Amino acid sequence: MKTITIEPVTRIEGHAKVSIHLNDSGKVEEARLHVDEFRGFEKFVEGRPFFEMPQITSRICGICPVSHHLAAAKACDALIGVTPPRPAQLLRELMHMGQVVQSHSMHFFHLAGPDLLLGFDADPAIRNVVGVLNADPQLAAKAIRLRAFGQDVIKALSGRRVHPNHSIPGGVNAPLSVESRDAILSQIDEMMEIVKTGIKVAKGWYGENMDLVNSFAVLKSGYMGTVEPDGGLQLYEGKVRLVDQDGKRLEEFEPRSYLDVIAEHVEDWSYLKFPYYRKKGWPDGVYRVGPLGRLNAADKISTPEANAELQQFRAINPGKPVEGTLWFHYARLIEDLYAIERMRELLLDPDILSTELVASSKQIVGEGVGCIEAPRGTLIHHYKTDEDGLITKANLIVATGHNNWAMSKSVEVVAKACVDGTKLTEGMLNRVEAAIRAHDPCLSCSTHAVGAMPIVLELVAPGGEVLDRMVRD
Amino acid sequence: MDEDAPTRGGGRGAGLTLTEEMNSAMATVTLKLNGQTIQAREGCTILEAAKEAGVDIPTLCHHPALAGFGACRMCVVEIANEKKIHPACTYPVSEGMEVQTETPKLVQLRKFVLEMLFSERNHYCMYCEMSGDCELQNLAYRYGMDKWTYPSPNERMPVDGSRQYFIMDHNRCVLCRRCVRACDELVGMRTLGVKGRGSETMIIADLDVPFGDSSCVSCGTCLQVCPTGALIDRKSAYGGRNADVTKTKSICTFCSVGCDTEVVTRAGRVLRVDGVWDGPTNGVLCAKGRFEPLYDTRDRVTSPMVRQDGRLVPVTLDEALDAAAECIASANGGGISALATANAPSECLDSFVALFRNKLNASPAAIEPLLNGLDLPANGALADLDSADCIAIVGADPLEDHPVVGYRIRRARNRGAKVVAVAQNGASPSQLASKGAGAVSVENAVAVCRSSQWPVVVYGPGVCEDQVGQIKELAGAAKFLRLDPAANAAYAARMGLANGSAPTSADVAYVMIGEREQNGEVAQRVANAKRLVVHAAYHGPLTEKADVVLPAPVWCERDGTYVNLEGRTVSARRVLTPDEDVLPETEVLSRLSARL
Amino acid sequence: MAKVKIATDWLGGCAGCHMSLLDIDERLVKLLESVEITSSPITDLKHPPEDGVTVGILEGAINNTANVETAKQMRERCKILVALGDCAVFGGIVTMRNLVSMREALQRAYVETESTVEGQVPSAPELSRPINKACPLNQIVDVDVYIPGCPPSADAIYHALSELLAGRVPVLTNENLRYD
Repeated sequence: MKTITIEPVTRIEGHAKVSIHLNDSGKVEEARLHVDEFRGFEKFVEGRPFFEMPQITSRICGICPVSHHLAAAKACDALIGVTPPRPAQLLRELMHMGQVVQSHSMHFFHLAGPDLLLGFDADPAIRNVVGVLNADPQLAAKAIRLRAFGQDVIKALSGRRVHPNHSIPGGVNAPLSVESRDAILSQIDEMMEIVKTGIKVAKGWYGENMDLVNSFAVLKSGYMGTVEPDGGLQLYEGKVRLVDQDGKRLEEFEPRSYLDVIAEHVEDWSYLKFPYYRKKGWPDGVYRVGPLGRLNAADKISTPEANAELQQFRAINPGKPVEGTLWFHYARLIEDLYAIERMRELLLDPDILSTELVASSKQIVGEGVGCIEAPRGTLIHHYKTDEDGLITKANLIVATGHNNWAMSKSVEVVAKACVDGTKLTEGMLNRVEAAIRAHDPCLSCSTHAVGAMPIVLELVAPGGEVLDRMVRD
Repeated sequence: MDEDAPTRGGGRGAGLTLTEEMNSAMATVTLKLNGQTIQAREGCTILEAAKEAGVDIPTLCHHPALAGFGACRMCVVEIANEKKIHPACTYPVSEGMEVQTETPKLVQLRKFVLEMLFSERNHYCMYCEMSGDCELQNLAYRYGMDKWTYPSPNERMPVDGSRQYFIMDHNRCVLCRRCVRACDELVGMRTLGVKGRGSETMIIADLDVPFGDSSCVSCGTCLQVCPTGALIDRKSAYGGRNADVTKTKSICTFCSVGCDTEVVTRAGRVLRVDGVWDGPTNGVLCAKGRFEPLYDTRDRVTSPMVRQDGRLVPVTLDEALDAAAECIASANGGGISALATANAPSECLDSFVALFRNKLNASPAAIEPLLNGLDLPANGALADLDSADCIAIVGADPLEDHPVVGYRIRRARNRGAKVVAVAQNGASPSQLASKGAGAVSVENAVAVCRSSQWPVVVYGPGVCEDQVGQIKELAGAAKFLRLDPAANAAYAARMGLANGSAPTSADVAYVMIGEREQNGEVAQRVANAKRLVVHAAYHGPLTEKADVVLPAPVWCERDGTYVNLEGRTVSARRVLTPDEDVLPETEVLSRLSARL
Repeated sequence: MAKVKIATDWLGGCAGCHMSLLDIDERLVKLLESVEITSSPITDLKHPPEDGVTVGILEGAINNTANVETAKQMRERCKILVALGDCAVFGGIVTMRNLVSMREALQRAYVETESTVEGQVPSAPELSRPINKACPLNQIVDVDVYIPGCPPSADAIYHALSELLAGRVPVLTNENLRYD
């Protein structure tokens, strides 16, 4: 049994290593995505006062700290038995939309974009955001603008872009100023146009690569995402819906009941666990989250332009969920559109400038679950405290984690399509990574840890002898 | 020198400012500070002299309200012709002294101290509530520390969450002992102490019990004095930094001491109440004024209401006032019972009296029993407790009802004053009293006072008539502190508000109760009234029975003056705007009066 | 004039410092006029080039055996090593796990958590091992420049890089020096 190792995977957040196991006839039998690092957040927060959690857990990830910040705050709301006043919820959602815009944009233009804009087989030395900048400076300038816009929404609320201090148990600590509201509103149209440019680029690429797209890691799985009462896409708050591979509804649950629905499987070879649908067991109960998962789970999108794109998305596999892994990119851009449209709605809401921002409480209920749709998928924070409010237990199920199976599977499927015998090509290497990249994994989040290593591709014989080697420097 | 006699004045805590002390002492010395010649009062420290001269020497364990301690060694200075460096906070000035405060050697030493402090325990600035306003962090920034040389031993320190209002995180403690010193010098309760030595040193409560189980009175003085995030207020955590918030000077209106406060607000919300260090109460507050107002979860009266078909319904203010006027007018012969809380500011009481006595010829009464009926003087001040050598407590439980007075008595006792408490029926011996003097007879108490030089009598609602005669004999020799059960009792008494304790037989009752608890007693007094108008901030047993409910503001929502137990006029400030339907009581009474 | 070569990487961290670097927004374009980014987590080159770079930037604390190797290699291959962010400078939040036993932390995550079914602590040879105590960068290699913050602001990072490009040792003051 030979093993091919890709180490590390690039243009993702976090550290990953891929090992591809060949059988004796040189065919791919199994592929594994090893997520390699562990920081121990779930343990070291024990003993901390609960109200520190929005600040501590945001350090799980620097790309989506807002997701953790908000999930933690929601868990704290439950811990003290309050519902934040409506204005506070609007402001939290506004910050969340800012984050979705910045994260999705960064992924499309900076991380995944180079593959689409410059090609899978482009020279690795230029296949990055700098390459995009050189090839199309105008597009790159727009990408920078869009990301900065999202970050600035976060800053307008909390005074800083990364690791904000805004949400507290029961609400938020500061209102939105009139100046900020107007400043953000004035840019909405321009930002919508930038996302649409991205969609056009994506569609162009899809058009030219349809055969690849229709055959690249097309997987069967369930799909999970949060929805509004009428089944519309919801990124901030709502019931979590799980549908099966045909799109039929399996569950629609309140986040606080997540343990009835979701269980986690552990493999010896990865620090990232594998969430699955309890009732179907492992591995039948696997599902995907994030943009593809959410658009497959939801019935529609409440904002017009995003909903119009959704209809086109639905046309890809009529009557069924969209299954091809590369469609994640399109779904991501549709969500980007929704986030900006939703931002406009929030900013025009009369309550958005209100100073009724915190619900008070004397009690400590002792347990709370906070759930939110992080850019990469459903994020759950579950805390228990003692009667003094010090954390006794923390359980975090992090977005990318739900996609763990899917990433490994897509690597396996792509490898099966590309790897043959002892031949290794650089293009194969990048396609395998592209499969992972499509999921926009946030591995810091998911293992509550990070790491990175250079890419070495080795073909190793059972005896340890290196048969072939490719190094990417 | 008589060892038992307490020293008069009592140091910084006696309430004199530095300027006052300086002015009272004439001798000065001339010295050089960083090459500049300055004058300084004889006996003051180098730190004090530098401050007066506008030179900023960095400090950490030092605090303006506490005696110099010299623990942290941040304020070290070089003195010409002296081999050793000295802490400026404790070293006195002398004639001809030449001091350097910021030489390269001193900077290096201070950085070393900071390195030691950061590496000793676990300082995670990134998520600490205090980050941005932390004195330890500010010192590190001041000295440009962009790295730490020494690794931390990473030993986990405990977090004590047993207190209701605030939490102690030992990981962030720098052992400056400000909390211990404050608990001793400012509050006098001496709950906090220190155990262990070297790296095992820990701040503890009593004999090392959880803080929530200790003799801690939750005054929060240690919380306010702490320079780092070791002590964290639960309510205001992550509410905003000093740069984000507004601070307004006001006074606490929850008892007749009227302590100076600084109310911290942001975006229409009170984050916390701080004490004011250079005021008459030295920054000390009690849980009633610092914490409890922020934990009030009673239902506010947000709209005027009128009872229709058995239920209270929201109406406009005009409709409610019309209904109230109608109620009052319906009292023919049966009289009006007009009750006002003596917790209301003077302006409210003026309006109340103007309407109900002057206009309507009723006899307005205070809800709380005023003590002005007792034939005893009220001529004392908190400062008299500081200089007392004997304090007699009669019919009062200061630690319970006027905690800041209680703390002042403890401080006096710590300084050597004899404290005797007269036995009260059913009450346990006073904690405040000196040993063996927790439940003495009134004769005994009077005798002890007579034999003292500066006696103070502290009395409250529990004083019996037969005790009054005896205590009164001390008038002239002793100062008397009257502990009324209401914040503005002195003014209410001045306004001739009667003590209305008996149930009224009046037809109509108007109760202006503000934010006070609507307990069974008050409800009983108006039980016989056929029509009831309640003017209150919160819903409760009274509003449930009311025919008309008029909303009132709470403590932070209106300006108002009070006369405190020292006879001083103090001012509470409005820091928040109430809901638009909640007008000041004076305005409501004025509009009501216009209708009658 | 030849562009100054820079390499970056992240160790045990959250990527927030790299995000803050990207927060220089349009100044990135200007920076790229004088700087060539070689290896970085956001490019497809993972190792700093063997013939070295002028400035190496590392984010994150040393948390496992892989981080040790990465740090040492970057130190070897750069002239000026920059520790970016609280984790690299002080150890940061990553060192919180030093306050609990690693064994307990692994047990909690992979066996005890409420949602885990039939858990086990991962131990396959492909995975790197946590080191005994997570520590800041300067405990493993010599560091030349420190930029604390969690994350340091984009302005602080841009200032430091500009200073380095001008041949000066960056000094962080006022708003640029922060620990949060």
